[in-house]
Amino acid sequence: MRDFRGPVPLTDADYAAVRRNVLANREPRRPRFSVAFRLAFATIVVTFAALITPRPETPVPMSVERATLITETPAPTTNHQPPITTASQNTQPPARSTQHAAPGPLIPLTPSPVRIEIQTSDPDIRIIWIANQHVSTEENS
Amino acid sequence: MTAEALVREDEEATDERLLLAHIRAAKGGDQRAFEGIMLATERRVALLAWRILGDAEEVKEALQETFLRLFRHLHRYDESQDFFGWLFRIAVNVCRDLDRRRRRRRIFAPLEDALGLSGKSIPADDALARRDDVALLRRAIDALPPKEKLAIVLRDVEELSTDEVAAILGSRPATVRVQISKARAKLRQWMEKWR
Repeated sequence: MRDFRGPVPLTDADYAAVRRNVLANREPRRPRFSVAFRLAFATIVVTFAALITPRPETPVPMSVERATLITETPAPTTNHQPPITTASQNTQPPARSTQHAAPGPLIPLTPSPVRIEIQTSDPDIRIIWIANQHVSTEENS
Repeated sequence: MTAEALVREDEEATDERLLLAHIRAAKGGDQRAFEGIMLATERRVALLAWRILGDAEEVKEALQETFLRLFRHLHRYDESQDFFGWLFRIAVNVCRDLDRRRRRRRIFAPLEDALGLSGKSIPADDALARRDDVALLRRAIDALPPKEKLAIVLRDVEELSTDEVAAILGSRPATVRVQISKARAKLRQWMEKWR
């Protein structure tokens, strides 16, 4: 079994030629990159990938705004006092709640009580007045 | 133990120590030491390549590529490993690549097809080969699938252990045993058919 092919048909000259070729063609060992260099390179690649990757747009949540009744009345005492803001009790602040609201007059859906907040010149004192809207309408008429 | 055996053992130990010294020096960039490694190992590598490939030109190519890869990867060699086992692994991979390339170039008739041939269609050179068991065996081994061929060459021709063959081929010993068993059965069938 060992000699199924016979002896190797190479001469000493063949071996010498192979050695010569190996020594002539060997490449110097590639310089190994330092760990710091690899980390820096990886960071650059990740950052670049994050920058070029398109982000999916977050859909704007559909919301149904409750109608709010906002009335602005001049300050009852002096002109230096801040304006009085009136809004229904269960609504968000007007600036945020009206951000996505459809244009047009705001009509109250339910006769909820009117909440009137009066900010005094003292920032620590605020007057809150809650009035029944339905009753007050009847009184006016 | 005879004096001759003792002298031989002593020489082998000296050769191993010399080879290890060459390896250490070559790792440090000593070109002469690397040449010393080639001188100490080239015949064994060439014999292995010859048994796998069976073509003198390809053996030279395999020898050169094996030493080039050895030069590139010598720094990875762990001295606790058997150097020849590690080198044979490189050589077998090189031979495998060459064999694959050759198989792409040529169209080989698989062994199973050859076994199915009738006696009437035997070509003249096969009729000659039938008279020569060695030639028959060579032809049969060359016709084996690559994995079985490598396994049988390393196990039965190079007479390495199954574990060593598995380490060289990067397979499990159980897989190697199966491959050898299949290869032997095919060779037996082939020899019986053509004798």
